[in-house]
Amino acid sequence: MELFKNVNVDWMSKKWLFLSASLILLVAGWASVIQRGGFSYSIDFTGGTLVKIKLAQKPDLDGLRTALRQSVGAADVTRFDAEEKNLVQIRMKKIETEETASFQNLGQNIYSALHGILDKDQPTGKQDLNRVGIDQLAAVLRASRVLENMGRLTANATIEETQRVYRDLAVTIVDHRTEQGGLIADIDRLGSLPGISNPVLSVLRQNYYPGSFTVLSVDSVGPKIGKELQDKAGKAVLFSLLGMLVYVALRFKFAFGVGAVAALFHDVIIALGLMSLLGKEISLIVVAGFLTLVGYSINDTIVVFDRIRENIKLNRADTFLTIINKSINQTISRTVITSGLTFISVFCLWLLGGETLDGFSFVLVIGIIIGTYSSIAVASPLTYYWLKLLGTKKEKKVYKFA
Amino acid sequence: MFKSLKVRYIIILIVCAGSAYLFYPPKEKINFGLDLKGGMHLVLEVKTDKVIRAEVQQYGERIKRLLEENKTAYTQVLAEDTKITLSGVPEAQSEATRKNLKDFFGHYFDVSSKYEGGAVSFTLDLTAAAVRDLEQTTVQSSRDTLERRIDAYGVAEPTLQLFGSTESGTSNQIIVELPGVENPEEVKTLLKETASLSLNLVHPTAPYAASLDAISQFFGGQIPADHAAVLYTGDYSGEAREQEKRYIVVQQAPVITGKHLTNARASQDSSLGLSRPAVSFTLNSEGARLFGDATEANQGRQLAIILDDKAISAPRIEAKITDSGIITGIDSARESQLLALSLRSGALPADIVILEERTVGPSLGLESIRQGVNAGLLGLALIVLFMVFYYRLSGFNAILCLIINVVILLGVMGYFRATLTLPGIAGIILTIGMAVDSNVLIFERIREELRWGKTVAAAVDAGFARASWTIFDANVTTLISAAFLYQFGTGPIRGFAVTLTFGLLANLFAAIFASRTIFNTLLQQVQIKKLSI
Repeated sequence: MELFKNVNVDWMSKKWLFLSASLILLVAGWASVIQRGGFSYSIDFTGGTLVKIKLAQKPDLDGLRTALRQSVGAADVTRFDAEEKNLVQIRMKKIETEETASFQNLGQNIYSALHGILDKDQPTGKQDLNRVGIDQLAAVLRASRVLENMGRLTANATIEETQRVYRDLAVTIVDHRTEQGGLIADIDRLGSLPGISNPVLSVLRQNYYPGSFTVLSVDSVGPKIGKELQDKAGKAVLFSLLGMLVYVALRFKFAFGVGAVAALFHDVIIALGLMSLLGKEISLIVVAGFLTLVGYSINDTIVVFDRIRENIKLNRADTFLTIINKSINQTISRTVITSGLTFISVFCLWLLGGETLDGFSFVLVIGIIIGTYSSIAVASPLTYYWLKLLGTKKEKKVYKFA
Repeated sequence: MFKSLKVRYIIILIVCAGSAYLFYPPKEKINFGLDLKGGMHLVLEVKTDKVIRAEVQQYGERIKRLLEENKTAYTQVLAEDTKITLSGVPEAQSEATRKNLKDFFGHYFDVSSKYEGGAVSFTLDLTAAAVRDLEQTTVQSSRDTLERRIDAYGVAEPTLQLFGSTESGTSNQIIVELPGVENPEEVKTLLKETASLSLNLVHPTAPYAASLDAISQFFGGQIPADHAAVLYTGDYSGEAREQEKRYIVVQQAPVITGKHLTNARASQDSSLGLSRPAVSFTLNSEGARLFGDATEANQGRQLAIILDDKAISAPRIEAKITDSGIITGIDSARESQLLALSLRSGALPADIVILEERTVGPSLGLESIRQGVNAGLLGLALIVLFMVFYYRLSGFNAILCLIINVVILLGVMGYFRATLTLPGIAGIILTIGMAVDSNVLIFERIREELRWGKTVAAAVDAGFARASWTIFDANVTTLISAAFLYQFGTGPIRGFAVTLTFGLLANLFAAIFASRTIFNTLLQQVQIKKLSI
């Protein structure tokens, strides 16, 4: 099967169409950046705290919001991911310095605050089964001597064996909890697990209650690290663009390097604008997405440039304009297919890859489309005009303008 | 090169078998990152500036002693930050003083002097090398202490790495990665606890007081220079119980400090009829002598146990104690275990501040793995379908290369014990997408050559020859950005850069060498006349 057969399009004559398309995308995105007063950066760059929790029940967002605002000064409480998962993220305002007790003990403070809201009716003598670790759980079970009482462990079992058996029991429970997304809703239901018999359940019930929430992750970034990362992110993107310029200039001619990097720059700023338009945050992983985009998006351009170089040698009579058109037409099929295949994989990633990778795969999803377009619409025309206006006499002889 | 098909088969076989061997069994060979198996990532900063200031203060005291020994007159010695100023030295003594200062402190300080109102004043500036030296020692010994504590706490495969830089170019940040930590808050407390312990005698008559003012009033305006007021957080036993009273006055010079401890372990204190958590410790010979003398001479007085600038208890000395003792005033048994652990691993030389914390629970990691695998499988299925549909039998060639590519990638990761992170999984998925790119470039070129009327063999030859350079260029540019990614990122993002890089390198082998071998087999062994492409 072939999607593109004998394509014969005069791409270079469509420069005004391309220019206006790029401008529209650019203006749409950046108008939103200006309207929002800049990009929305994640806590990676601004500093601050993001806590993700999972609840056993449908969250009462307003209730959480009010209570957290009073206790820890949370700025923002929102639901994320699929609704039935009962996931909530809590954002804390950024802080001026790391050296405050509230930043240093944030995780504990947030847990206590949530506990005070969600599990305030639980008996004080019991511990949260959804927070306890393997070692502590094993110690509690062991202290109860439940297995000895049941006769599962004989009186002459060695200390090592006793420790191991109780640890295995704790591991079974904690692994099950992990499988359940970190929440055991009902202690009685643990009875279906191997080795968890009624006496064990009653020890668990005596010592624990199933907490109604679990902290999935805590990300807390102080302003110092945030600032360092901002610097590093900007530099990394700039230097990788520079790296591309140098490589393409070495492998081809400087003018081609300019065209290729201009196309990359075009991709990056349009994608940045669209991120803002669609309300996406710029985080560390998004910057990683941009760096990947820079490295990938240039491939299409190189394929076209390679063909231009080949065609110049083969068709000495043709003008540069004809050669560019011909080269784009000859390579359009592979350009679209290669980009399309990579697009498929990042699209799947965006669709199924989960919350954490969302920003990353989204940059690549839109970036690959823009990158493919720009390798045709930006890179070659720009190289053409660069050589036409700034080319040396010798270059003008090689690339025929007329 | 490698004209012989046999040689090519053997090479491919060795590479694939080797990779499979390096990767097998996957559970042991692949190291999951913190974001997948759960754990804690911390960036800590060692506050070296305070240590340097304290050091300079001590040098100030030494200068005073030196001046007094030499009977040099002076008006004052002032130690501020990294600078000591000595003023009012008579001109007649200035030359000898300069020589002394240079001889004794010249290796650490730049010594300069100027005339001022008929006398000479000297300025000693801590040299940049000395600052660096102090910072390095402080950070290094903090790192060692943290490492001992983490080991004693029992975290499997922790990593500690120096990072960041101060003005003088020393790394003053420590990245701590602790996989599978179940109680992040406890570990944070453990890491940050300076655990500087000292036992000081309590002033015999000064009251427990609610404010520092009340204490200075007791002393008639000024606390004696050899005493200091410290915050008291312990119980109020006996006479001090009546009101909320927060400070006690202790002797500046400690009887013993944490340095004199040889061992510490969690225990119980049953002295008040209750069984309460405590830490018992044993002392080295010097400590035992000092402690013995002090407890013998001061029976009936209170001895404050000062931990990180706070008095946690102040028991009364009942009898002479020599080589061991007990620390009381601890809230819970768990706390006593942690304190014993900190004391055993030694005090931190400087304060530690957490700059960044990222904690991922195991359930989120498990969910991430599932999602990543699902995304990868769907992507793979779609790509396989497309390749077979679009390039027919040659599509199978591409799929075979894709498999070889992934096998090599996993093998290399296994060999380097590379860490697989969530972005790393994304890198593998991206590799799947990009791996077929190279095949597409070659196939499209072969199609083109066939269209121009070349024979199958010539078209395959030309296809590979022309497309190889393009593939090479494309991979190099992606490698360049992967290098910047590695440089830029920490942890998870580095994991991505690593899988991407290995994936691309494997791609060169799979797309150019292995794919070519398959075509050659078709051409030479099967001797096909028409290519299904």
